[in-house]
Amino acid sequence: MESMYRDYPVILEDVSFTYEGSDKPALKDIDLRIRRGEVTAILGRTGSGKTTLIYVMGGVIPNYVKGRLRGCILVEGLDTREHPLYELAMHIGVVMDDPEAHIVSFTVWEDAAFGPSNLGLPKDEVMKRIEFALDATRLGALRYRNPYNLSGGEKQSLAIAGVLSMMPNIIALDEPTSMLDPLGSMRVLSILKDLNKRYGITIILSSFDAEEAVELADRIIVLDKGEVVMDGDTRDILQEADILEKIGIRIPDVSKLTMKLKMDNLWSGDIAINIDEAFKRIVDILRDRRETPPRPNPYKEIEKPREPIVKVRRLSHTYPGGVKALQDINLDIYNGEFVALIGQNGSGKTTLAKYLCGLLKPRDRYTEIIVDGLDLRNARMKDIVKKIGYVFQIPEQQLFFTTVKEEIGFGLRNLGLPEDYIEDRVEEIMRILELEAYRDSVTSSLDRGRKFRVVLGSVIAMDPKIIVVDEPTTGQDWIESTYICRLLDDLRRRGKTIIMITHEMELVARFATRVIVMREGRVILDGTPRYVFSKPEILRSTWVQPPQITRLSQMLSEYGIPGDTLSIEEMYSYIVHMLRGV
Amino acid sequence: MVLLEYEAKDTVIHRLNPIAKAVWFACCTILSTLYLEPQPLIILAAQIAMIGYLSKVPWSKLISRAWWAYIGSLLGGYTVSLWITSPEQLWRIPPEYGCKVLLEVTPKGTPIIGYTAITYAGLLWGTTVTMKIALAVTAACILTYTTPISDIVSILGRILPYKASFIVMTGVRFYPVLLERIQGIVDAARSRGWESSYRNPVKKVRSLYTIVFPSIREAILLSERMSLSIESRAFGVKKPTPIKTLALDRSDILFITFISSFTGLLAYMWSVYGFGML
Repeated sequence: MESMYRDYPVILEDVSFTYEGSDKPALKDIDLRIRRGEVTAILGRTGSGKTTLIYVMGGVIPNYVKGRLRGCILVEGLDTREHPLYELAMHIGVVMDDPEAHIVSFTVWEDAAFGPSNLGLPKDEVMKRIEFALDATRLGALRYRNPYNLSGGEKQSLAIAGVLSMMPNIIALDEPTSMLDPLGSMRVLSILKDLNKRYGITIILSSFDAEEAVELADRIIVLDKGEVVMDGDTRDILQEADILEKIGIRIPDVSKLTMKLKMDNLWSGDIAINIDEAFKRIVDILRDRRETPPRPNPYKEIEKPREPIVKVRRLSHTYPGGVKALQDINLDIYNGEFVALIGQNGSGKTTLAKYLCGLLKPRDRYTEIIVDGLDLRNARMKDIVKKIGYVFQIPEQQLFFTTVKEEIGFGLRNLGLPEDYIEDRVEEIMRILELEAYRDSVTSSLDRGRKFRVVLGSVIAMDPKIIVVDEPTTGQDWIESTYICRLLDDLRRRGKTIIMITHEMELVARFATRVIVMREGRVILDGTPRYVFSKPEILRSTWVQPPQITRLSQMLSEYGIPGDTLSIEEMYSYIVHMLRGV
Repeated sequence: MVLLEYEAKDTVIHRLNPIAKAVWFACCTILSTLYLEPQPLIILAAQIAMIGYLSKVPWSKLISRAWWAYIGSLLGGYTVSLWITSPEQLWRIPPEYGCKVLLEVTPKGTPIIGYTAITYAGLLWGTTVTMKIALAVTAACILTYTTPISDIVSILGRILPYKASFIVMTGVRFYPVLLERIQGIVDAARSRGWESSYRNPVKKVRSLYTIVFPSIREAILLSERMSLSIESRAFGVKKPTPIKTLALDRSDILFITFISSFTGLLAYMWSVYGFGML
């Protein structure tokens, strides 16, 4: 028995869990053993039970979150039902997706000290643990900083440091990168990799994204509707890319591409799981190539209508404390465009969007912001919202009413429109957003994707010509993210102009007609996705990476593949053309 | 935010131990509470200004932060002073001088409000109250500007029980986070045409209710998640190990001695000679 705990620090036998007040089990008959020193990724769609599984493993369920729990859960040989949370935390640390909920102190080092000092350990031991936690999470240089002023990735690192100072052998993280920008995600993933390799800590993390799992995990567990549907080595699981895709898990572009090639007998052996592997194999294949594929006109200028619908001139903004959020922005956006606003957090995207929507007013008399003919400088909010709507990042913070119907009618009632018009309009919006079945549902009980749709519905009900959406895919799984973008694209086809702030480059490549890249409050690139993604050296300075398939095409450019390929289909057609000459 | 945020600087005051600065702040508060006459408060103001100068406090920023506290105390102080009309209220001022009415505001027998007037004593009292509040606010700003909030809280931790000081710390810590999230909620509502600038109080309250509901929900969710985090980090399990030493060095002791003597002297003059009483 002892040796079993040594090899498997987390054991779940026949575990089922149903939340209090619910009839539907969130987890069903789970049997799992997590090997020591392994990195395990739990993949699944929203609502598949990933968070619940992390909470069960960490003892949060049943110690903190109540419900009906069945089965046996052993962490380092301890039954989680018989030990308090803090005792379990010395063996398994749980990190939530919202790092701000972890932070309790005013300086980074004091926050790391919170756990061990609460254990009443000798001061030397507490100091030793602080040093270890800060060193392992690369926060040593930031030790005297106020956590509130850290970036998203640094805050998440501090959340990890907080649990690490309890000296657990296992860390379980619930979607640790879902709220972060690419730079923050990279930081957190590389810290986790380090914790595993250097200190031998067992890592368990939940994610929507197989690409993230490939980078980090030795093993993948796939959950669907509370059940384990797949469990195995990362490579083996990725070979079933078609099943993963059916479940709704985002798989790496290179896996999709090689799967497609394999189906056409152009690829033999394993499906590639990462970009380097795909590159090496495709280079081998292309040795037999017959001809170079025709190159599309890559830098075709966007066709611009005469008058811009949004016009910004000489816009600058400095936050208290001297941070320059925007520096002399001059911008025209045209009717019917789908503009993706990209750049790392703090580059000025949201500040710019707030100006466009009238939430911030220009102070400089030379600044000009005209939206659909309305000068925003002196415009009233009620007039602005008829022209431009703003959907914020986290849907939960934008729900003001109990039911879906009430929520969608919120903006219309604020505009003082007649009640029968509101009724009809709400019905129409619910039809467009496929929310009719949820008409009287309580908004807080909806899943995140539907919550977003309700918020979007409340904005589009007011019929603005321009819709600004701030990171609509944050915390959404791939199916829902794609659905949201398709919805926005559909609105664009109906005559709206879309401005989307995002970190999801695959969606940018697929839906945007124009990309604006920001860095330190300035626009540094502006053009079609093909043009923007063909400038990797400039993008690198903003920590933005082109989609995986574009990066692969850039690696393959010396073999004749155009380096600005945007989609799997495009890449596939180039390879087929080169091999078969068609 | 009324108070100034801490800025790391290498000044004499910044270098002082937080205990020494807390003693200074306590002395300023005691003196400004004791005195009811402007003259000793001017001495106190000079002392606070000197400490502010030594700590290189940005005065313009301080005023821009605390202006509404100053204006509030001015308005409040002078408004209340309208009721200071009888000689018994300020026993050290000669009645014929103190209660000389300069302007009658409401006549005797006015319902609810009663008799109000501008008197010399009232003006003196209003000036003193305004000064007292302004000095306390300025001293607090200098304290928060020169001392990290965590140090202030760790001093609190020595006075209050651990759990009570933790509640204070968490409150202060979560204030900006919650404020930011509530601002997000307000922005989201505004972008759907919501406004609160109604003159009709019923409409105003109804519109604010729209914001209150998601704000409370957000606060509850955040505190629930935070409570999970602190519980798993063994909060309240044992007496926590103090990780900060607040040992006083020679300059701290000298500073405390000087400030205590200064306060003691003025307090002695107040109690024995009635210095500073109205």
